[in-house]
Amino acid sequence: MAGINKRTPGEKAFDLFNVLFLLLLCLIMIYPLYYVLIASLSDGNLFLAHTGPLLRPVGFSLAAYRMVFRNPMVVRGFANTIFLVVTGTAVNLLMTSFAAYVLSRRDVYWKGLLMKMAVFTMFFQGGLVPLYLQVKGLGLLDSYWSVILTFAISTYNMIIMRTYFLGIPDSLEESAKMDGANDFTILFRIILPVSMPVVATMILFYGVARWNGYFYVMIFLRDRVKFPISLILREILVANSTDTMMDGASSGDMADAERIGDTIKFATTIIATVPILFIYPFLQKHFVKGVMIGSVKG
Amino acid sequence: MNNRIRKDFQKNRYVYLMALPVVVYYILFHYMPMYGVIISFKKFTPALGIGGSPWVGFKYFRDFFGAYYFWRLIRNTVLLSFNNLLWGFPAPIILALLMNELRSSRYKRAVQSLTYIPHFISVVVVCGLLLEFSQMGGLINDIVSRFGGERVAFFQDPAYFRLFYIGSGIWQEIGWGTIIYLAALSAIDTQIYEAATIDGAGRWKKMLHITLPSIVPTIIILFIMRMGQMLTVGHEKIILLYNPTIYETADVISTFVYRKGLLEFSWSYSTAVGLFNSVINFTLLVLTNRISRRLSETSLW
Amino acid sequence: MKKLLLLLCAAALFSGVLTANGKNESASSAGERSLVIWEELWANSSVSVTTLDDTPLYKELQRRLDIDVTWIHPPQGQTDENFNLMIASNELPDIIYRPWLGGYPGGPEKAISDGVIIRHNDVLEKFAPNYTAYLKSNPVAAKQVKTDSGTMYGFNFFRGGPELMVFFGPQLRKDWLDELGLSVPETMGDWERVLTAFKESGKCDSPLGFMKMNQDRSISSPQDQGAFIQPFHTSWDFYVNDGGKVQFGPLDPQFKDFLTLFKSWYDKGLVDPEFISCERKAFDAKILNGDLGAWVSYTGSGIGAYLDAKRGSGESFDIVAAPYPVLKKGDKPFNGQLDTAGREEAMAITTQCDKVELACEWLDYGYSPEGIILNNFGIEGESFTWVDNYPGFEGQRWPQFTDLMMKNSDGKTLSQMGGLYTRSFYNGPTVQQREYIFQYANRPAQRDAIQIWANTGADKHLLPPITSTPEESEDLATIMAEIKTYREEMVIKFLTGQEPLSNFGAFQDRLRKMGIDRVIEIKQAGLDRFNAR
Repeated sequence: MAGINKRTPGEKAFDLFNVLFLLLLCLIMIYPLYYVLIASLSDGNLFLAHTGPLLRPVGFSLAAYRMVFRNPMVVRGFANTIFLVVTGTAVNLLMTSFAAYVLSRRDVYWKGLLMKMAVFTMFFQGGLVPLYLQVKGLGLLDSYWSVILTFAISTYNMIIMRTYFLGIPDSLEESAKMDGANDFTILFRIILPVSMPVVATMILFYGVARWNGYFYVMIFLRDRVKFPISLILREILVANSTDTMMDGASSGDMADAERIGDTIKFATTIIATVPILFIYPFLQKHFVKGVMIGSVKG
Repeated sequence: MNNRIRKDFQKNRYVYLMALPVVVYYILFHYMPMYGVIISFKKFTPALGIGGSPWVGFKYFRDFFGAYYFWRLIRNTVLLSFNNLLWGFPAPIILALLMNELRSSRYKRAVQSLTYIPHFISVVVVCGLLLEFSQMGGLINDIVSRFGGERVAFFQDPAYFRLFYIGSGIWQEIGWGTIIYLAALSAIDTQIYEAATIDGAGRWKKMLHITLPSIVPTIIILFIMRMGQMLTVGHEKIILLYNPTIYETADVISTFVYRKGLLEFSWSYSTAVGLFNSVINFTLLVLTNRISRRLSETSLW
Repeated sequence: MKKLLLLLCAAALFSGVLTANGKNESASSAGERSLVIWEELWANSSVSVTTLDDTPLYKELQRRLDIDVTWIHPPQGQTDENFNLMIASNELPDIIYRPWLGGYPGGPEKAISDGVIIRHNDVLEKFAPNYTAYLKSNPVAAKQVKTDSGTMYGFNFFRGGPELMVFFGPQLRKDWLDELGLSVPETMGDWERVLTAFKESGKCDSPLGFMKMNQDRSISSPQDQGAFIQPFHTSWDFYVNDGGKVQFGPLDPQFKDFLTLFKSWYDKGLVDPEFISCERKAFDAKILNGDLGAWVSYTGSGIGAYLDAKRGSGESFDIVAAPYPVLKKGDKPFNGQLDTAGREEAMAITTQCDKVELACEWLDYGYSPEGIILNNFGIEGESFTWVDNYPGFEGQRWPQFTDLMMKNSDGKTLSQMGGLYTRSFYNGPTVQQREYIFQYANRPAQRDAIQIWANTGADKHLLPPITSTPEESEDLATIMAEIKTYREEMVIKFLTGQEPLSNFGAFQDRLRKMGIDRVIEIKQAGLDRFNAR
């Protein structure tokens, strides 16, 4: 904080502690991912034999990445994920700004009821099986639209956006209204352009959730060709709990493939994680502006 | 009255047009499935559908309340949730305050960016890493044994589950959680600080009397929302982590619902337990909100 | 910001093109001669293909029969959940491949009465000549794939020879035994001596390891016969005693003897402390790293795989199979692993299939002479060739796998190739042939293992594939769900000392309170009906 005043010794000590503590925290935050990265670049056998913390790859090897990209699901999964994330986030943005706009109007009669209706769903859900039956009833099973539409609005995010809209001075839109602009024009031409920080936040919130989401995709999609990378990652990471009994004498052997199994796991993790990390720098500037949310006050 | 509604519709027709897809969404994907919870009072048979399945009244609720593991599920859910609240809730607040005290804005930004990273990582990866690191020969045990401790099979001992569950949760979300507080902090007028400095207030006093109060409303709102989820501990992460050895502490209502509904074909039972869970949640939310309104005049609605 | 949006739009377009190209016809079967089948994709196949449709095996089958098959494969490790929801949604494909006894609560009879799959008897009689002929000539197997009322629930998987039915048992590091001058252990006393020697000689910290099979089983093996429980003439689960009565192991007084001994091993550090939660990959790593000296595993994915992995590494590493342990030297092991000829895995035609005859035509082919060859060995000239000089079987007409399978230049393992060209490497609507196992598990250590593990009382003491009536199965499902969790937890607590063994009586009482006696009664009734079939 701005302070031209002299620091007392106690304050100096605190500052030093603070800097060091946060440095340590950052190391803890980053090390696991770093570990994954170097493990993925390690030689399978050497890595298996290694114990203790790693600081650099043991026996550099790209074999794991080669193996991962030979898996036909990975490349396709990537394309699927991009489609799912982009389309899904677009739907999210559109629907959420509609809802946020409606609920941020001052003189809309049914607004209160709509708000209650939305908030109620945050705490009261039908449960998995009824939701599944509903999605099936709508004929959306095995279609991307099942996940895209089921999670079209996160009420939590919607409230954040609405709060932001509430903070926009009325004067901005008054003049547009004078000119006879309708609400769609106001939303798209006036409100959204001045709301870039919150739009960026929404892209990030929704985008990350879409990118990593696997559970409902797993439930709603049937065709393996449609699986996104998150689900493939899950298949590779979560040890196959397939009943070994079924495989009998011939359940999977390992030879070379299994020897680099562990590093494959890490390579897949890197491949499925790094792209979404890159979205952040694009949006960071808007965060740093800081004006994001104000508060979530309803 | 009627006149008012009509006028409202006239004036806000575009607003209502915009609201239409939103309302349709909430009805289709939230309220219709809520209608589906009536299967918890029926013996749901797929071939007969929701409507055609026979009524059984409160049978599944009675089954659940009488189940051997009923109290354990409640206990585990509440304890996990409570501990999560106790440790996980203040963590980002403290971090935000610490970051706020940093003098170099470049360092602050670096800390911010780095602590955000875990949030972007899929829960599947987090759990995979956690299991990997906590093995007998894993990283955590390597460190423990280097400091003279004994190696432990962490995910075989019920005593450690909460620690790992909550610890990993904090690891993943602490940085991200600060966003909301930092935003509130950045809104504080610097003049207030300057005035306080002139009055001779030290850093600690300023933090206590200016910084902290400014984020209290945010804290309260987030706290109320958390309370509404006291009995909700998501199943995704636990299912990726647990095994029967640690059911003692790890098995919660949502995982039970998952097993019943998705593995044991007990759709109605599963839905009944879920419904019970929702009802409790909602009650807690309303109660907390009421208390908060009385005590601090801050409330969700 | 704008740049990002542009980039994303471009990406969306690009991926849209990709996904559109990769679009399969939807689940509903389009053409006249087409079928939709639901089956989990075997892990070894999923490495190379996204659907079985793309395998050479099914391309060949499509060519031969001119029937289009669309496969639905659930996510791996999510098979049960997916199957469950599919049933709940009542939207079924033409055919479902499942283990119907264990994979559908209540078993096949319940699946039929729930309207999921059809009763197959008439259909088989009418449209499946090869399948019916196989059953006629193999009455034992036939009995195993029928329910008590004689109902047939699909086209089952069969193991076509005794060599194919034994594939799991105790294994030890032979090089360590030799080095320490020890012989292969037979009695539990021998085992303790060997494990102690492994530990004390510094070979490893805790020599005996177990692999987590799935949520239900940890210290038990297939058919629920823990190799180290059976010496006490009891079991982890249900078994048949010498008097032909069904028993639940944990209710036996001698089950406590097992707990006592095993706990003492655990306390002495002879057992891997992670024996409960050790997943497959971690387990494999332990063995390959020399962290374990003894374990219980398969001939193929155990002995074979480990020897393969260590081949050419220059380290000494050898594995030997040990007989199932006994208490007194010279006794015959009480129980062991023994698979049935007729398996519960079956392709079942659903009630929503309107092309039953076509489905039968496709499925029945797997049991015809040509179909059996195709499913077991793949395509002649491509994945196998006929020879008459296969080592050990000279003079016999022998389908020998080609180098494409055995020494794949693409770096694929034999199993991965097996997943592309055959069903014999896992299971499917066909009869598995012994020529496959002799080439898959062709090391002397593996062949010996089969011999050694075959010598048990498993034929008498294992519970055969019994079925229960729909009412019985409802009771079974509700009671056993709770009992399974409770037993698993308590046994582990006893073994690790979290629960004193003095509470064993209370544990048994609680099992009774939970209704175990009713379950035993149901199982007994099932066994009686099975014997009377």
